[in-house]
Amino acid sequence: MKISVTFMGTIARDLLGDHDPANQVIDLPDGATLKDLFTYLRIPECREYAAIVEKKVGKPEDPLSDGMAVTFFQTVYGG
Amino acid sequence: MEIIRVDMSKKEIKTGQMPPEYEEWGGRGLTSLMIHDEVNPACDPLGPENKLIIAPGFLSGTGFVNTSRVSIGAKSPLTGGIKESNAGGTAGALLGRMGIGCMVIEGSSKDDSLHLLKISNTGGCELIPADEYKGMRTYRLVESLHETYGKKNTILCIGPAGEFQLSSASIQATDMDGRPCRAAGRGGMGAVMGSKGIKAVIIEQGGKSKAEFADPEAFKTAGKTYANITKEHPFTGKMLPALGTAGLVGPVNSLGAFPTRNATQGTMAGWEEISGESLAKMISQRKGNPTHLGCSQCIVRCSNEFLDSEGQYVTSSLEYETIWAMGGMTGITDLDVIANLDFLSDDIGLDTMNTGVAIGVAMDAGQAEFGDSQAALEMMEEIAAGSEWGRALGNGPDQVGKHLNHHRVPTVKGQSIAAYDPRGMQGNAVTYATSTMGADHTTGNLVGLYLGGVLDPLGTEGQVEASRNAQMMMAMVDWTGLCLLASAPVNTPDGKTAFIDAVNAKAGTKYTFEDLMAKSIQILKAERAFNRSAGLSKKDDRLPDFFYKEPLPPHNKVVLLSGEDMDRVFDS
Ligand code: SF4
Repeated sequence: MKISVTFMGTIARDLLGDHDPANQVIDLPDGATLKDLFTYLRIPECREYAAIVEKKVGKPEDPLSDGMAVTFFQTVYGG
Repeated sequence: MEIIRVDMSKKEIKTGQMPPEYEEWGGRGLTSLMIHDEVNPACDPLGPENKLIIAPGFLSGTGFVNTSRVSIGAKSPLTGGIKESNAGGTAGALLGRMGIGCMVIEGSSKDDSLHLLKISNTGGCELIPADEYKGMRTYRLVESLHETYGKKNTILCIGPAGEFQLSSASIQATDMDGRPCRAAGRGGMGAVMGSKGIKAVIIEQGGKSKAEFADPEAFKTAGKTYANITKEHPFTGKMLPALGTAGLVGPVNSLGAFPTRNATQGTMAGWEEISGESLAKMISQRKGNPTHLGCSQCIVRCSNEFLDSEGQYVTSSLEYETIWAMGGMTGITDLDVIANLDFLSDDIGLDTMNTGVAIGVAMDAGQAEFGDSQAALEMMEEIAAGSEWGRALGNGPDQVGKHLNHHRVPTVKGQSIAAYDPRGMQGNAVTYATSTMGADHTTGNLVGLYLGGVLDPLGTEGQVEASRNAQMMMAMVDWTGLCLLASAPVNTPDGKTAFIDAVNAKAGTKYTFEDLMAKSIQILKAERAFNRSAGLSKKDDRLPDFFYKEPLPPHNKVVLLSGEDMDRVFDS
């Protein structure tokens, strides 16, 4: 299945190295979860990084489905 | 530590040693405890009985990173309760280095004359007649004061809004480049300063007292550890230096909690144009500085310098809350316009948040279309001109709501909410409602817990407890003078230990984290006691009705926490 991902903040610069920092489409096997996407992108699965799907912070066990859009943010603590 | 008392009724200044009961305090701890002890809660906030207290944080002036905050407190003309608003820039660190624990400005002029309060680097203080500066906006004022009294001096000042004693009037503080662009914006502290007849406080550079540390070596070690964690932390070491606080536009909007067009929507069409990513790109393309040193001792550099398309300076620093208030709430998606509105706020001496929300309420009530940049700029000039309409705007959203008979006014205790809609972040509803300061995100923002997946922003579970903990934590941060943005490392185990070690090494204490929390409770209790005596009650710890009645798209939620939930924050 194809997942469209967007990286905000400095995630692309800081963590992705060999990935194209622009928005991109990632191919994952059926049944993949958000945790698999974190692993594939080598983004640490911790409080400091959030994956937002349909206006909500996703949980690692959330299943992904074809055509889903996931946006990655750094956790922010206030402005 | 020294205490400076300035009696504006007698034009008398007295200096002395800080009373022992206040020695272990600084920042908000000191301002709030002293206001509680010395100010009649029933007094007129703009009368002679009120006191304006200016206090650097407990760690300000030391080598500990990011501790240059200066707290300014008084009874607020906006909320009718106690207020502490803190500013960055250079004042906190300088006062701390000079060994000045606080300045207490009391009484008021019998006429409408203005004065400067000058603190020399040898510790001498004087009042200087300043009627020639009447009506002057802050940028011109600071330029002129720098010419007369020395280029490098730190200045805290008011603009026309403070002289008019408007409830949204700020006290502007000079930044590292000597520009009056940092602000103690909230709660009308500028109006209190105006009521005292003080146009500016000038603090001469170069003053130094012997630093007092119980254990200098332990202090150094703790400071080094905290600095290293701050540099490595993804928020303070990476995101903030690159995008500044504007980096919050994306995540908060993506959670559907970005109050838009006077809080009628939770996401903004065109948010990408005002995002931190766009701002940083625009600043870099125009050869401005997206990673600007705004405050002394700062290793984070969340500040920026915004230039226009010709490369001319417009403002510093364009921050998330301002982008939201002047952009999100008004429907304006042009960063150049928002930067101009920010500059005008600093120059006139206004809280960008209360003023942006006032403009948003006016637009919602039909005074102008949402997104009408010209109308927003004209409203700012109305405030500066002191017209009747301008005074309503400058007194904040409640006044605008009353003036236009409009019901949708997003305030608590008269102060506007911040850039997190309480329907999209239920715990922030609790903080807005119950904070001693009115709707104030800096007293207990839970956005980090929501993005970190620790708490569901749309549920009710755990919100009261999380808000209570955050309010205690922020009271602690605020009395030490640590910049709120650089306090994220305190959430890490090593960062927390280093922070506590630094406080202990300075004070000669053996406090645990729980002890520090107990000190925070002492501050909150004093603030709440003052508010109760000032006439604020449980019914003031409530959000406006529309947050309970009008669901916010896209989640279509209302605030789910009841009045009883709000009362649980401080009743247990
Ligand atoms: S992080 Fe920003 S607000 Fe805090 S001290 Fe640094 S420049 Fe000032």
